[in-house]
Amino acid sequence: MRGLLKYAAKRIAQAIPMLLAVSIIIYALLQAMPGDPLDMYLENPSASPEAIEAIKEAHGLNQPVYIQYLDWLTGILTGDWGVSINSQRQVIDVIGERVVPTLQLTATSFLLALVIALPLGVRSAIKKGETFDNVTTPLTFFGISMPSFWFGLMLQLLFAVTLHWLPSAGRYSLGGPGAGSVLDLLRHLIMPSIVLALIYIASWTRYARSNYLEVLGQDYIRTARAKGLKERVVLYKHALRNALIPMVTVVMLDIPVLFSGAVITETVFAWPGMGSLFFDSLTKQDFPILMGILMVNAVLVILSNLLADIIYAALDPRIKY
Amino acid sequence: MEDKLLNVNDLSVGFESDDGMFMAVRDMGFAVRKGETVCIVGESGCGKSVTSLAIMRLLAEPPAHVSGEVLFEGKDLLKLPMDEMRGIRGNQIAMIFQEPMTSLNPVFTCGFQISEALIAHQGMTKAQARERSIELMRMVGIPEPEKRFDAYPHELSGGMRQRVMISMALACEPKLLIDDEPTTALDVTIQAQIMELLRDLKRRLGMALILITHDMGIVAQMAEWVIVMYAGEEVERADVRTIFSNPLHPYTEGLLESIPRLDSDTNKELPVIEGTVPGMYDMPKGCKFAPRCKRCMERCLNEAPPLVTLDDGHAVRCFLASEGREDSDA
Repeated sequence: MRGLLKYAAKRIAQAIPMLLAVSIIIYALLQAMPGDPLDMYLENPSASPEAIEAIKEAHGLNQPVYIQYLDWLTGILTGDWGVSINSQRQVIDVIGERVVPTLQLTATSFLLALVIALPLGVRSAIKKGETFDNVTTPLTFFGISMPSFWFGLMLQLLFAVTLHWLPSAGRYSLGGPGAGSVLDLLRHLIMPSIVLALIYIASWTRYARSNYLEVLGQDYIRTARAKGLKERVVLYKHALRNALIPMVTVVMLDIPVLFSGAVITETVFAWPGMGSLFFDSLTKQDFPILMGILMVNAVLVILSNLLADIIYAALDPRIKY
Repeated sequence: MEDKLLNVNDLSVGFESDDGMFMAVRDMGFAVRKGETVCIVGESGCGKSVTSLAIMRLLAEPPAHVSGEVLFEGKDLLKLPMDEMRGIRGNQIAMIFQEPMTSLNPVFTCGFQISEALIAHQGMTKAQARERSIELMRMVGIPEPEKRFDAYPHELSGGMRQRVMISMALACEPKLLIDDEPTTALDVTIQAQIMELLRDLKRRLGMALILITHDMGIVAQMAEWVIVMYAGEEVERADVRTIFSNPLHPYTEGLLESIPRLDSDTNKELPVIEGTVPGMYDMPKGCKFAPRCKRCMERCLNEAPPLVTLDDGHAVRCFLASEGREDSDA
């Protein structure tokens, strides 16, 4: 346990130069985008060149890029994430109010994918070549190859527009009975979380299947059977524990990807999370917001990596830190 | 008949493949008496391991197809419902595998893996199983068994892991222990220790042993009966003295000639059996050994010799032996 804490501390320490490097690269890439956040005012007859110049001055946009970056960096180190060019609000406030909706959506999708994919993959490995497997496998290919925005639109068309079973978009109903309740939230969550989870359900099922099949062919499984253990014990104790180990890495490393996936899903379903904020800010070139979101994402990648290592060590006695 | 513990009759094992059925073992028939050691000898791929796995019903069916009879104390194991078979596995018949490095589950402690069989078959509590497991580990010569109980397989050497496998197999004091090349993956000094251990345990517990090996030295040291296999068939079967003093099949003769001896001339090349085992799909239609046989006759190429039992149970699958030697064909 102490070894693990020391390891975690070391990894977090290593993360600091990494985050610094990431911030430089993202900043440079955002600056390299064609256009500029104030371009849209150029066509606006009521915005005088002097007014535009004043906004530029206020946001430090006429400084050289490296000065702007250093300003941003000193700001973020002292807890000041900057001000949105678009809304003039504090970045930390804008992002802050989007975090909870995004966590609701991604956590639901993550759990949904895990709870469906694992049993599905294990079962189709055990039933390899039988009907269950023969139905599951093509379905996973469907899930992997279906573009999520298209799948989302089709669900909206069927369940919201045609059948009126579910709300088409948003996080809460705007009015009417039960608006704003937990049930209301859950009804709004169903479609976006399925859309976001689809690709993970599919790819984790395939991964669980191939992993589990590999474990079933191992010598120690034969040993367990030779001992006269019940098939249930062989499959769900001896085999499953071993098959879970490599699954951890894949699943944990997909967490940050899940957040990027939320950009499209949140946009399709008008879900007021970080994903739709990112999309919105990207079209408006609102650098401070984009930087904030991307840095949160970078921290998330590092944390899920660390979490993967910790779970890995807990499952596999051969790993010691 | 009463002293026969295991009776294998017409055991055949085929494997489905894209090119049709491949027969790995054909018409095996042998018996193991109580407390007796039977060695199955042969080259890699001759069907030794498949035979033992078929007895334990550890082959996945399909692709495997097993036919024949495996009578254990009069019950045909091949026809038992899986539930009953599980009650026999690890309890009355136990097995030790070739690869100690991969045969133990890496995520469970050695002690847990030994205890499992005791809890499953003897209804012991965890604490009782722990105590008995430590006793077993001590019996097979694992130093500091109380400490090793909680060790994971990767923390032990190959020899120690094989001892863990052995104590696991002995947990329920089986009547029959099947050893599939238990020392092949270990170095020679450990090999000798493990063989000594098996011989000692066998004497103390009175169990029968089926020992699969390709090492004639081990055969001489351990066996009472010997079965020589070639390309999925028994080619010769006799008690150990007869095999060494009066081998009748040219393959057995070849195996014996290829053992290096302390007193042999080191300048002379060690005799070898020329050629290789025929592939799965180009089995000779006559005697399977004919292409490599120094005394092959016209007849051997077209006609498969039957296994003929001579006096005192010595059986051989060769025209020369069963119908009088015709040395002129050499």
